[in-house]
Amino acid sequence: MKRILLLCLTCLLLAALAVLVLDAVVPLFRSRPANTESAGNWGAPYQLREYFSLHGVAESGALNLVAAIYLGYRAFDTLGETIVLVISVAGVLLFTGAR
Amino acid sequence: MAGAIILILILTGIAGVVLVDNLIKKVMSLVILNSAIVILFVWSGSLTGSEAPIMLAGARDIVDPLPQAIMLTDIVIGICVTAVALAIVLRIYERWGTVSRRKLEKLMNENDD
Amino acid sequence: MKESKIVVLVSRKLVPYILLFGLYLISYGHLSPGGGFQGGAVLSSAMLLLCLSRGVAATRRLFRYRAVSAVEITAFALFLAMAAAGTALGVSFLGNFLPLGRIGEVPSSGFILFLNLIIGLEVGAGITLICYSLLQEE
Repeated sequence: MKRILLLCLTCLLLAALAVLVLDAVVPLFRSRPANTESAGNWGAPYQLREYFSLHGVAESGALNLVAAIYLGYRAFDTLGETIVLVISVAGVLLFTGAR
Repeated sequence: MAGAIILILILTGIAGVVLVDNLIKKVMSLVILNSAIVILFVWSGSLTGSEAPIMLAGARDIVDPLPQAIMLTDIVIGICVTAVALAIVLRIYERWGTVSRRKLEKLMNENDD
Repeated sequence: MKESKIVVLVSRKLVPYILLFGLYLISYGHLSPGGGFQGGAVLSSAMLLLCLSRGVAATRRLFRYRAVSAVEITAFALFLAMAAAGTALGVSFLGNFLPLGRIGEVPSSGFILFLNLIIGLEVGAGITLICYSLLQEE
């Protein structure tokens, strides 16, 4: 059983090394709209980036767009994360004998 | 190139959790796996731009800020899971006296009989 | 764990600056890279430095267990209160009900600054409690 697992992992590792070599040898050309204000190219995967760079500062008032997202647009995920933190602290205190 | 490095890190994490004998090293492999997933999401979001997403004067070609905001939560959840896992390993050590998986299996089987 | 005088002396000099840097990261979270989670992690790393150099008992005499626990629970309750205040004042749940000031200064984007402070205190206190529990010697 362990031998099959090691064989699969070795195959995947060799595949990863092959991708590494090919990525260094064959450069990928990717075309993207450079100027966000004049290019109306709102197709995926650039639509969220263009929306946030055009409307993010005015709607939330923060220059840091990441802070505007996780405290403005998606603050509910931050609420869930604080709940996870409080519960995990309670779990650690339970397991190590709180005094 | 970055994708291959991320794949190698994920494989290291999975191999560490399955194949290593020491329990604390298994927890370390979990941390490596978590960090590899965070790097995967942030890298795949960075392919659409070239500057940091802080809208100072004259910032035009910014990176996608949404994966970074979601990965902030993911890092803290990784810390919470690691803390609870280490507390469980501490209790296992206090009860059985060893942190090795094979010796634990032997001791638990002898305790059941 | 045997105490080393160099480590104790250097950590006593460094801890106030680490705490100050953590507060800077929290309060400038909406203008430059940083925010609640990052500043809270730096705050808790200062506590971890104290625990590793002087021992948990000496650190608990300085930052009492009940005070740190009260800070974490109060921060969580304040977060929920600000979320519910959004519903009470007409905007959505977790909606921005404070006025947005001049963009680019510290007291701007009112709601986001307060939430950053609350989250920074909560994450710092939570990870400090985890350190107190896991590094105990008895």
